[in-house]
Amino acid sequence: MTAARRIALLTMLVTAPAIAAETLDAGPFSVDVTPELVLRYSGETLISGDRCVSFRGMRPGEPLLVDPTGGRVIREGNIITVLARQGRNTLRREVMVTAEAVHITFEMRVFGHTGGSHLQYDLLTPAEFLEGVDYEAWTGAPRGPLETTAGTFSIEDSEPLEYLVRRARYFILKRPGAECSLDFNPAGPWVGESNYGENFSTNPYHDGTRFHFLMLCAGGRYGGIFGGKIVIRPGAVGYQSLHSTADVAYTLGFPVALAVNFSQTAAPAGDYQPYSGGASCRWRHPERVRIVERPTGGILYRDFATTADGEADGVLELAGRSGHYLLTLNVHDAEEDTGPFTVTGPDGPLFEDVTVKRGEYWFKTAPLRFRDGGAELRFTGHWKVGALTLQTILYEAEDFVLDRPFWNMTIETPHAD
Amino acid sequence: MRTTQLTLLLVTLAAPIWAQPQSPEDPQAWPQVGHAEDLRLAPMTDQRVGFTLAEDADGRRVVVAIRAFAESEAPSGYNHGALAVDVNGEIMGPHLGDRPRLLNRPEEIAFGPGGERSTAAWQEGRLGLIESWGSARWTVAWAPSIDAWLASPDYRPVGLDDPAWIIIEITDMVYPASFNYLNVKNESPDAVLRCETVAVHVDPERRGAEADRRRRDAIEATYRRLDEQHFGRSALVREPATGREWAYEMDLIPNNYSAADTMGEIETIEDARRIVAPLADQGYSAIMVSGLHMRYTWVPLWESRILPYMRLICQAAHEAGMKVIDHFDVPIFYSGGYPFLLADNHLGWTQRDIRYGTPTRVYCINNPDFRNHFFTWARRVQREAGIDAYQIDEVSFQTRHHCGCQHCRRLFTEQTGFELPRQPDSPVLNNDADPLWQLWRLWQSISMQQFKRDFLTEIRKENPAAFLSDYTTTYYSASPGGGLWPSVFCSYAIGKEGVSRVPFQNYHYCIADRRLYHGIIDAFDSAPWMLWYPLTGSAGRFCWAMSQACNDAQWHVKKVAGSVDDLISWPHKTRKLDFETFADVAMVFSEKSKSASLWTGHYHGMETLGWGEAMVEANIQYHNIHEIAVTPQLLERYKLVILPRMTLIDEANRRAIEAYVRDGGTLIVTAETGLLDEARRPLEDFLLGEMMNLRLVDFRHAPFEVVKPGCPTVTFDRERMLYKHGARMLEVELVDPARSRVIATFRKAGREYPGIIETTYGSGTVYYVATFFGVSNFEMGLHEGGTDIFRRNPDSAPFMAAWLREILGDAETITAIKIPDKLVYTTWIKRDGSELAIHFLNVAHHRPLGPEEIVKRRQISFPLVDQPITLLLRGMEAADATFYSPDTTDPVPCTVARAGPDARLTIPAGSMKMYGLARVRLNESGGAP
Repeated sequence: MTAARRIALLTMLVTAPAIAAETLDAGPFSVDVTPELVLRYSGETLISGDRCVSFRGMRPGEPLLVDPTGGRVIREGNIITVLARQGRNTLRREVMVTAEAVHITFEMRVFGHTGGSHLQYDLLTPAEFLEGVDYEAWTGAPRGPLETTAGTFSIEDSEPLEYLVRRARYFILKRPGAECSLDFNPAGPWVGESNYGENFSTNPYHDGTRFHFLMLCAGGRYGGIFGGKIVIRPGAVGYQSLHSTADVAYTLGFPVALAVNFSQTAAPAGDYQPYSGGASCRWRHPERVRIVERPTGGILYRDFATTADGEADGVLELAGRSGHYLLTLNVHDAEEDTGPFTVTGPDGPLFEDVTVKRGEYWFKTAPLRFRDGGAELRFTGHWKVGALTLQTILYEAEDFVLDRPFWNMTIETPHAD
Repeated sequence: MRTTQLTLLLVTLAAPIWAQPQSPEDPQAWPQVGHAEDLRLAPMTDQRVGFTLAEDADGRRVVVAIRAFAESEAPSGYNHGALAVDVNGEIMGPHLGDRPRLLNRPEEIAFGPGGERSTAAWQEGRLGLIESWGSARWTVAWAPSIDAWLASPDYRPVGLDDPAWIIIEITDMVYPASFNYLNVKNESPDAVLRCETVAVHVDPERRGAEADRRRRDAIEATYRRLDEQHFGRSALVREPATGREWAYEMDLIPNNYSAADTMGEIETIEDARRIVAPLADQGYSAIMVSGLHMRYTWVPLWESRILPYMRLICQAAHEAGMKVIDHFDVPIFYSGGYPFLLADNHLGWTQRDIRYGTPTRVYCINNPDFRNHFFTWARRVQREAGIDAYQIDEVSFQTRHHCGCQHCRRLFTEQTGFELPRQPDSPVLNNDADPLWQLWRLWQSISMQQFKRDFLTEIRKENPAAFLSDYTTTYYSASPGGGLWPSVFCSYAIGKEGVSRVPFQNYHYCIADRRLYHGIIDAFDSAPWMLWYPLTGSAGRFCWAMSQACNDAQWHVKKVAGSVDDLISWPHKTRKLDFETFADVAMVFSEKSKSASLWTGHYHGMETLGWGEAMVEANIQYHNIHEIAVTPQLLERYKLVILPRMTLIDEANRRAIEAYVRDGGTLIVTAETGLLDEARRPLEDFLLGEMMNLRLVDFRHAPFEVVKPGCPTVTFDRERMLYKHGARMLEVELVDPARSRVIATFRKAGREYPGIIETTYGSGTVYYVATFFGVSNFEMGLHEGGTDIFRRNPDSAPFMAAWLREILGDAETITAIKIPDKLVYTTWIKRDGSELAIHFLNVAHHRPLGPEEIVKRRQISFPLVDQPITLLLRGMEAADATFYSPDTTDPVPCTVARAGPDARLTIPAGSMKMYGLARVRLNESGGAP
């Protein structure tokens, strides 16, 4: 069944706001099936709308680039999509509702002069939900260091149209009896020079009556595309339980989560392990594995692990946060041929029928998926391994590009109405 | 077959020294080759200790043994990381391969209760004997003497053999068959470091020394061959400007929001025309497209968005008479590119860590599949879109530790005959003193250049006129990533991003920096351009004026573009391609000196810029020339040539310089000029010693006083200098006192040292300046929100300028007879000699920042220049002159009067505010002197 046909079978079209709005309910969340974005959390309205404007359009009366309230609603199971158009400007907004989280995904596309240098997308929150509510926020520019701050939302004690928090990535809203977290950067730390049409900064403010969670994307002078995703979770979920807190920079490579040199000799004092750890490993049956020491070869390539009896498979249990990793293996034996051998991961063979001639150096990398906090590597055949490195690509919670799609509903012509 | 055998032989010979058994002997019993006694180092100073290694030192271990302590009235602990040692100008890490350099003690010791007292007895813990602050710091005791420390019941070390000595291995950092030197440094800000003894020892046991020597010779020969082939004078190709004239004149503007543009705002030709039309109307001539900058992040959008976008923007731009430069990063990708990375074995395209084989977020420019994928796509876009030029960035290696992929290793071996070690702990890797590592780095630079050449070859199959533009932020210092140098040989427009956010405040630096850039650009006959980053409209206008005064095309930032709308289309701009610098003074800039050391190479750039900044302020017209272009004929054009701490002078330059002076030229040589040989090994004495009639004796620290008759005495101190390397003088002695005259002395501790020495050589004159005046005057770009970190000696620039004017005397071709304060001018001459262009910049409202003053943006005022400006044009016959300024509506006729053999140019009062241009028509018979 094609995605389009599945949509055709499951989709309910709503062409105008219902008088008594149908809702999509899951756990503490309830979302109206209407063009307006109305989200209730534990019975209280957390979000009462959204706005697409150009930057500097903070005041309530500023012209909208796209008005979502006139949009078309498509529902597929627990997903509501709104497609709105204003001239050639478009908005696609998708809300997926589960008991564990609500995912709000948006993309606005704008043509011509916008009147501002950036594009801006606001989530609107009624004053009564946030007034007097304490928050904890994780802040930082895309390439800047991650910082934390805390405070209280208060219209009375703050100036309208002034940012309450700058460059936020993540909030915990400590509303008594209704704590929740707002993740404005669910794809994890930015790994790039700039945002390229994605939300790079969330700066909440209020207009005197409502709070705005203002999101920004550079490059809106002549329009363009601005997309983003916000994940709202029940409870006070900490940023660090979902995301890496390591610095992210344009020039950094994949961070190393684990580097193992299979040797009897203690790790040298040099800079062999330049990165922080994060994962661990152990042989399931260490008695079936032996370390062979050679007199020369330097670290990584001098000593290696191999089967103790020449027959048994080696099973290496890896533990770490669920997600996507890159696995690099190094093999070298100065004295004997190696192989053929195969290394199999949880999703099948990673390296098959490898042979390494005496004195040759072999290193290869393959993607490896950790689920439920780990993965297992099975070495079979005439195997040897001198060193192993794991580098993190994305934690599971941050993955909106590999296993989990950015959009949850497939729409063939997302910008048509 | 012979090649294979040679390769195998060389690989065999490449067996590293460190893998061999270590000598069991006490290193202090080894023969001593260098020695110093009783050094007393004040805080943050150092002492140079030279020694020479014989040719048979190849394959022998070398150590330095130091007996040192930090002075205190009583013993108070073994905990002071004050001692650091540089070797041949390079900092020293704490490890050699996989083992500590510190040979005679562990890396840390336990101390505290239990009898192991190596520091305060009431504490317990572990004490590191090596700290790494980039360079290693070696722990010494606080004590009145070593003996007092050893005798102290509370603080004497326990459990250490031979605690009085620190023995450090430096085998990998020294050159056999060469002079070498240590800088023993006191890194403490407050303690005095006493080194009772510093001794260098060489292992008497030889380990295949002959083989090592042969290997080293073979590597160095290969290096010289490849360096000359790809970066030498034979690689210098000057192509005619035909077809790319527009690059010299362009006013370049981004079509949208630079790299952050999503390329989503153009779907139709009408969209593109709407964007292009206002830019064309404002007078911009070229568009820089930078959107979706890291293109390999966006492979799924190549067909659907990028290709149509480029097609449409090019069509609209060409319709409007504009050009398009496509600007993007080639091999870098980030999270959006992960699906492509993990598909179809693209993971195999990634750059690898040389040590561990691990991948990174950059594809390898030597991977054949990646190259094929990129070139095929780029050629198709070129064919369908008609792009005019490219600026492709990050064609490089992510770090010095990349790329160790199989293709790079294979190509390196094929092209050099050598193999890079695989072992991560090999002392070859990341060791700038190792010839094989030097060769590897050279080869990487070659491959960067080759990628761009191959890209251009592919593109030119579709558009023979297409060319490469290139830029880099800093050029004056060595770059771990290779910098601009590999690319300039195949780039035809070369620009730079401004590093100052307050260019008006930094105008000395900005203009000196552009002069420096022109040195390389002129060597290649490339088109120069500049991207300033002003923060205010008035600063934006001043930047435009600086571009005119520096004869640069300009990439305009959108943020302040509106403030220069009227200037973009100003009709009186010079046609930049037609003009070249008109100057009396030349300063030679040396890529080889700059790159000779990651740690001290940039002092060449700083010394160059510091002299330049002094000349900018004083309106002394100068030009930077690049070492690759230096010939006797080129030098002959100049009345004065400066070699600013040009440490490495190759043979072609040496010959040219020698001929220039011998035939009557005047040369200024500063500081450590000529103290490296062509293989970047230190020389014990000056390469130009015979010309200068000088011998190097030693280095001495500031403070000292510069005493020159007829001039105010200048105090040269480190407090008024940001970079302490420059806070020194070189103690020199005259070889033949009859040949030289000391025209300035350096007075230190009651003693006079020769400071500036004038020597006659042939028909010419050489001046040697035995310190770093340029470094003491060096400033770079400032950023808003901070203070002015570039401490400068305010007495240096006036001293330099006055002395230069004294040397030039009546030979200075263009001088001001009457000019308002703070009016800067630059002079250019039409290549056919028919016209002189003099650009004026009004910096009247410039003022130095206070010591703690925060750098802020500000609107700059340009008051009317209400006095006439009169310049003397020595030896020039001027027919007439007209003055143009965007501050006035009409051209202003100037007065040109004869004054004997000279011409006197007078620009009427009230002719300009911010910027003005005097165009002086020269008589056919009497152009430039």
